[in-house]
Amino acid sequence: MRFLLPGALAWLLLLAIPLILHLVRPRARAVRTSTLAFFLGLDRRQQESPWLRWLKRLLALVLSASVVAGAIVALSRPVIAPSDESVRSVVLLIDRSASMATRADDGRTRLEQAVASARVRLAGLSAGCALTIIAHDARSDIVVATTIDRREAERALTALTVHPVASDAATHASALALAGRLAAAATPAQVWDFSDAPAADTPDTTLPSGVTRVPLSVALATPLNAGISAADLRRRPLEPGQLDVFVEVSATLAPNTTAEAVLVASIDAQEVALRTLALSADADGRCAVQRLSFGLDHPTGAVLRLRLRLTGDQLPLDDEVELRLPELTPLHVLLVADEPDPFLVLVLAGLEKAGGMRVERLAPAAWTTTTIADVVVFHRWLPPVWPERAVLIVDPPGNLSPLTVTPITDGLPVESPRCPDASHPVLFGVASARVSALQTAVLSGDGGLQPLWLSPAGPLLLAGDVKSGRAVVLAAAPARSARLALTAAYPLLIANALLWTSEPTRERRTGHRHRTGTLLPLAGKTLTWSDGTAVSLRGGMAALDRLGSWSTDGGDLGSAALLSLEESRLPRAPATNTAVLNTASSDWLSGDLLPLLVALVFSVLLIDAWLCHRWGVS
Amino acid sequence: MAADTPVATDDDLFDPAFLDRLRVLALQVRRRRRQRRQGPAQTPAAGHTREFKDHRHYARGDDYRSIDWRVFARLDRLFVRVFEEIQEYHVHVLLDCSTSMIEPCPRKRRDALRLTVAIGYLALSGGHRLSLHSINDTCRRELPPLKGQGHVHGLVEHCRKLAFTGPSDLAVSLPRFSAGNERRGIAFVISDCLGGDPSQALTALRTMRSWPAESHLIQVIDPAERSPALEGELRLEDVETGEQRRVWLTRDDLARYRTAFAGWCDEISRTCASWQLDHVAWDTAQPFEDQFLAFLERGSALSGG
Repeated sequence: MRFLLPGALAWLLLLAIPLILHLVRPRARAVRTSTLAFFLGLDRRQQESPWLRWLKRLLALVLSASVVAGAIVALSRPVIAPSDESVRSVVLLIDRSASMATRADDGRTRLEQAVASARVRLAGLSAGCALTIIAHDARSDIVVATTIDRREAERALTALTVHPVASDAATHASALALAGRLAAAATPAQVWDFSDAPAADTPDTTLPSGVTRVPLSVALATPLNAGISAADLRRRPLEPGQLDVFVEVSATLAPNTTAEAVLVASIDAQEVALRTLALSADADGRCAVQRLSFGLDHPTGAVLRLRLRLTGDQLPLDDEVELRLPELTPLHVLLVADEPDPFLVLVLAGLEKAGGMRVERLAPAAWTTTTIADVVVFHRWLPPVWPERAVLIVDPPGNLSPLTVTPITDGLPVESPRCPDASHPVLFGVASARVSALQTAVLSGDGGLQPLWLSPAGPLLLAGDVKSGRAVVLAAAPARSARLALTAAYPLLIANALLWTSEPTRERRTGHRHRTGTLLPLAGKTLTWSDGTAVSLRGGMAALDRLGSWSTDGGDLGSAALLSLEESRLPRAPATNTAVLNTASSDWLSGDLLPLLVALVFSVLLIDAWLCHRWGVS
Repeated sequence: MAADTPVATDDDLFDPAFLDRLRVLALQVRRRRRQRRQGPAQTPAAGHTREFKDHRHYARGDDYRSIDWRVFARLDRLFVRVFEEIQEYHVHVLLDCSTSMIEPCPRKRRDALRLTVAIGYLALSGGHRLSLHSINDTCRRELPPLKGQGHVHGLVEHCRKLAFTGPSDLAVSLPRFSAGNERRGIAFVISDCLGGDPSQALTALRTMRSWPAESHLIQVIDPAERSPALEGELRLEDVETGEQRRVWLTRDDLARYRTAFAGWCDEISRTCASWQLDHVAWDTAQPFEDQFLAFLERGSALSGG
């Protein structure tokens, strides 16, 4: 313990006053009375013995001295906090990402723990030390600009709340860099970094000279959490009306333990699926990521709600995800070709017959950029300018920026093309190892196009975002291929390509799925969340800082969920995390002791008054 | 102890003005008595005075000397003459001479002595016998029975010399008093009834019930005893026993003291009423004459009531 105003302790000389008053107190006035009988009958204390009166007087002296001493010590501002008198400024960097909502056994979130620890440390700062508070999740906000007003900092700390937004080492590093720049204004300075980020993820940011980072971890020693780290919905390509739900679950348990989590899917409060997951933790407490999928047969409703249950789960923000169900209306596909490949036509006709698509054919001469369709399929023909929409290009005859096509004369037979990204949605269900095709050209694309199939000559399948739409390019001739048209891979590949490329267009109608923290341009003036909260859109932009589905009065729909592997995998506290834990165990006897002492003085005064009036202690 | 306390001097007690007021007081008492009834202290009984009262038929056993022969000569029947009988009382004054009657309120001694002299004056001037007793922890006859107005001066002189000292113990002193049976008596106990346990005073008053006399208790209380102006830390000393106690008095304590004291006085009054004893609460702060006249008006053989 130390005193911020040690000079005030000189007032302890005032303790002599109650002592002197006790020693030289006036003697009792002698009064002669006709009889004592009526006085003795008044109260028990009239009967007390001399030693009891002496004890009472001694107690009164102790109480009086306690009041005086307590008041003077309180004026000298005693604090129990780590101190560094040489620091001129301090920047509080407080993590407010979703994982800071983790509740310990005492019911406090990590953010509340961080704020409590910050208060304790702030009490130890000298009055002239400048203070800045930065809260960060995916972005950094300067909550309190540089100030010496402790009350303003106190109010800002009280107002801090957890944002259900993911953060990572990069965002932490940028926040730390910002803190370093602010702290450099008055050096020597410290950056108090309150976070639950694991030590391994601690950003290695070079701070300016004179600025020191003080890592203060508020992570739990034994976190327990299971969360949905990824979730998606997809129409089955060859089965219209069927939806596939993909869920990824990550968990953190006590080391070398097992647990059971339950995933419940419901639509409009009706449970439609239930899955049980067996979780097993390694020596670090981490569980392997579990991915599961299940189908929904002609679901009716607007929102699919996924809930993950685990006994003792400490982080609720990643336990629930809302997904807007996509429309099951047929996809409008426009085939532009002079003489389309018969197998391509056969595939499209089959998809149309299954009811999942509506296919129209168009001669290249009739092509205009205003032609309406969900996806345009170009076969051996390319428009003069890349269309700003979803396209599937099969066997491109030449270049079209940004696509570069190098024809292969007579074609190149390709067996089992190599897949750099086998998990790409275009290849979902496609047995690439069993593909045998005739490559007609070597493809290359700038920007967003990435290869999905590679032959020794080069890429023959590309997919990616081009301009404002998605594109899939296949340089193969099914009619000339040995087995491509005869296997299920080809219609699956075409269907996947059509669904994937049209996904942004369809999502515009049925609702986007976003991670929280995303900043979106939206139509309308008001954004309404599923819990009824309405937020006005400023400048047509909205930050998705809540969980759930939402809609705007401009017609936009969507949902937001945490969906973060980093947040769901709760970090464990480092072994040497003593600075915060010590203060957490005795909050009432840490930090600024002024309120405690004031309460103590008032308590002693109350006891003194009660003893004086009830028992005559004076 | 009592002699050291500054009290009213003897000259102040029975100065000529007080004695003049006493004579006026006696005249007022006689006047009132005449207004209510003819003759001093008349009784229904017939006596042997010179005052003729009535005739009645002669009966066997009557004194033949009282036969009115003139009526016999005129009516030829025997009648006897009946004369008035004037009653003579024996007035006993029991004066509390304990220390509490002079300390810490000397006005109690003053009023008690003046009451003694006033009652004695009325008794002597009315032709009654007067006895004076002092009581504290015992009962002592101070003067032999006096009769005649000429003893007033001696009574005053003796009262001046009375010493107020010692503890009061009514339970001991009152039983030691004997009113005697030679003639009808009137007993006046002048005391503050303080001393020892207050409940013992109540018990001691039972003794007065057995006296063959008209008994009056004049309880002399000073306002300072009824409502003391004390507060804070005090070292109280009982003037009679010398016992000391340290106390811390608050206003609440004083309120409870007043309530207890008033309750005790009421209890004495109720006890006296239940035993057919006359109780007078004498307040030393009130004018003496007013209180004394009011006391006589309550009814007493001394005042013809």
